[in-house]
Amino acid sequence: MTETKNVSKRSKKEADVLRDKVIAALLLLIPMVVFAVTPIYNSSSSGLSLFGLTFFYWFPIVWLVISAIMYFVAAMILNKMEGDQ
Amino acid sequence: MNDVVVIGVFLALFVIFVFLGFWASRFRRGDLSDLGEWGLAGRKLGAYLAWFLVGADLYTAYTFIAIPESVFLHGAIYYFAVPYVGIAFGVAMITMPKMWKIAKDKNYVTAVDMVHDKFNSKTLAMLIALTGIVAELPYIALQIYGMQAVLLVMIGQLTSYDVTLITELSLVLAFIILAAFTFTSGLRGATITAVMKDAIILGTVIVAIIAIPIALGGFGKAISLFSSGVGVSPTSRVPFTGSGSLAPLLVNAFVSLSIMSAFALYLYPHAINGVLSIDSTKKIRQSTALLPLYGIGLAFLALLGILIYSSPVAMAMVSKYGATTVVPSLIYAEFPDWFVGIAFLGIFIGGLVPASIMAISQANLMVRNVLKPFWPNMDAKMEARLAKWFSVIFKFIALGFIFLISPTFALGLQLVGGIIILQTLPSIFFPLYTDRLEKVPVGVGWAAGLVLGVYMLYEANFVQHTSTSITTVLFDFSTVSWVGFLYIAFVALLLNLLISIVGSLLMGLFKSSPKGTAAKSD
Repeated sequence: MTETKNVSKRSKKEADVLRDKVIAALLLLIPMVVFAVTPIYNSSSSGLSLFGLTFFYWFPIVWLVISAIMYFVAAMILNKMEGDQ
Repeated sequence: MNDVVVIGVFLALFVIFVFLGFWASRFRRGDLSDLGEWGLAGRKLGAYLAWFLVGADLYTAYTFIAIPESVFLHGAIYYFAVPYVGIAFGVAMITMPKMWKIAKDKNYVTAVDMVHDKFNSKTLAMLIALTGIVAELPYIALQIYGMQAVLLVMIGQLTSYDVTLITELSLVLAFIILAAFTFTSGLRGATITAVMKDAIILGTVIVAIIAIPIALGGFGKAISLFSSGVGVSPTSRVPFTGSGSLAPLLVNAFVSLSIMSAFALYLYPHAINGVLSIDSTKKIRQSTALLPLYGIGLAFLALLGILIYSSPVAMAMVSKYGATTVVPSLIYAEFPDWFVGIAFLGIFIGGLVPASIMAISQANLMVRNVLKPFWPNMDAKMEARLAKWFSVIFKFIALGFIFLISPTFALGLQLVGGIIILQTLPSIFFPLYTDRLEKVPVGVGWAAGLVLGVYMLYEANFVQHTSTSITTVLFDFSTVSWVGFLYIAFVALLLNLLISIVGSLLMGLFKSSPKGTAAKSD
């Protein structure tokens, strides 16, 4: 009885670790893909301009902020995992 | 404008800078006759100092001089530096904690120590070390261009008496001082002065990016002047790559420039050196995660290359002193004397500090991975002493480089360095994840990548454009319209990767075949 409990506990922990790993990987990869797929933001249409800056210039700047937040959350997850080991 | 005030503020701050550089040897005191202490600051840097040190590699003449110059002259494509910064720290988050752990376990001082162990090859390690040293030289040279640009404006506005001569003398003098405190304080000197540099630079950038767009009537007006290119000689603007967005043929060039630069950043010896001097993997992740914020300043500095079109005063100065002076000229034209003095000092030491960090990392490589294999009995004291002298020598090689060749395309220097350093990617990044790579194909891939890179650089510049100096790092594949132009480093790295991976797989097959499938079980 206790044995099966332990097993399920362990596999739950493994599942948690896997989930954390996937989340951290996505937090790192999504910004990198957004930056790298330039056609997403290669637009000079005046409707998308902000303070006179075309979309092409301001969109990556906004993503610098978003990426720092996402990378930081990933860092906290990875640091926590490392601490648990 | 009172130019004496500008120079007075500049010199006063420079004196403080030099004092800090020498004082740093007492910071978290260690035995500076040991290479790990001199060259890695004893691996004692916490998250904040690490942020400054690694960030110091980012806010350099590259950011202040080369990127604005290139955007100013050639347009949208050189905005690639913004996505580059965003991607680079993602790459670092993945690779660098792993590198640090391996280095800590085995007590490696450089990445090449790891290459040596993993491939069990002195020759490959030495080739990779030399590649790092060579690739670093144009990067240092770029820093010197940046310092020169500031001096040109500052001295040129003060006096008309032989500006070039005074500028060159000042540069030599600054380098002697820098060499002296790098010699005595090592990486501690670079880190402490990096804090001063970043404080001044962050202040300058924040003021500049708010005040300049307001003073010049916003971005909209500047972008339309930028696209018409009024006030710039048409020949210097060729090829122009777009104003509000990229020309379609250059989209892949932009993508390859940003991705390749991102992978190149953490292959450079100075970047790895910076990471290895941090005191834990957790701090590496924390400080790296926030580094994209540094990129915001970089983005706005790049945009100054566009905004300057709205400032007739600054445009006149740029046509007098050259396109490397875009940012110094704008600052000079738009701000009061004392602020100009502070900002100029910031840009000046913004070249000086990275040059010091780069030369330290070159010296580490030279001693540990090029000389030591020939001289295995060398003791720790001798290692440190040699490294100190090499850091002096490399700085002056880069300085000599500047006096010999004329500045035409400052960013080109760094991008040529990128083509070279990227050929070390299979040797440095792959062993972090696999042991299946073999030294021979990796060595052949390295050589093939370098040869192809240099050939394409030659072909693009001296055959297709018949220019007399390097003016482009892009190769024209526009006969296939969906490809357009590509950064040469990308094509060279592709060949390198192909040879390294396919070659290693084939050798792996032959190696395990006599044992058959049984070999798999161990």
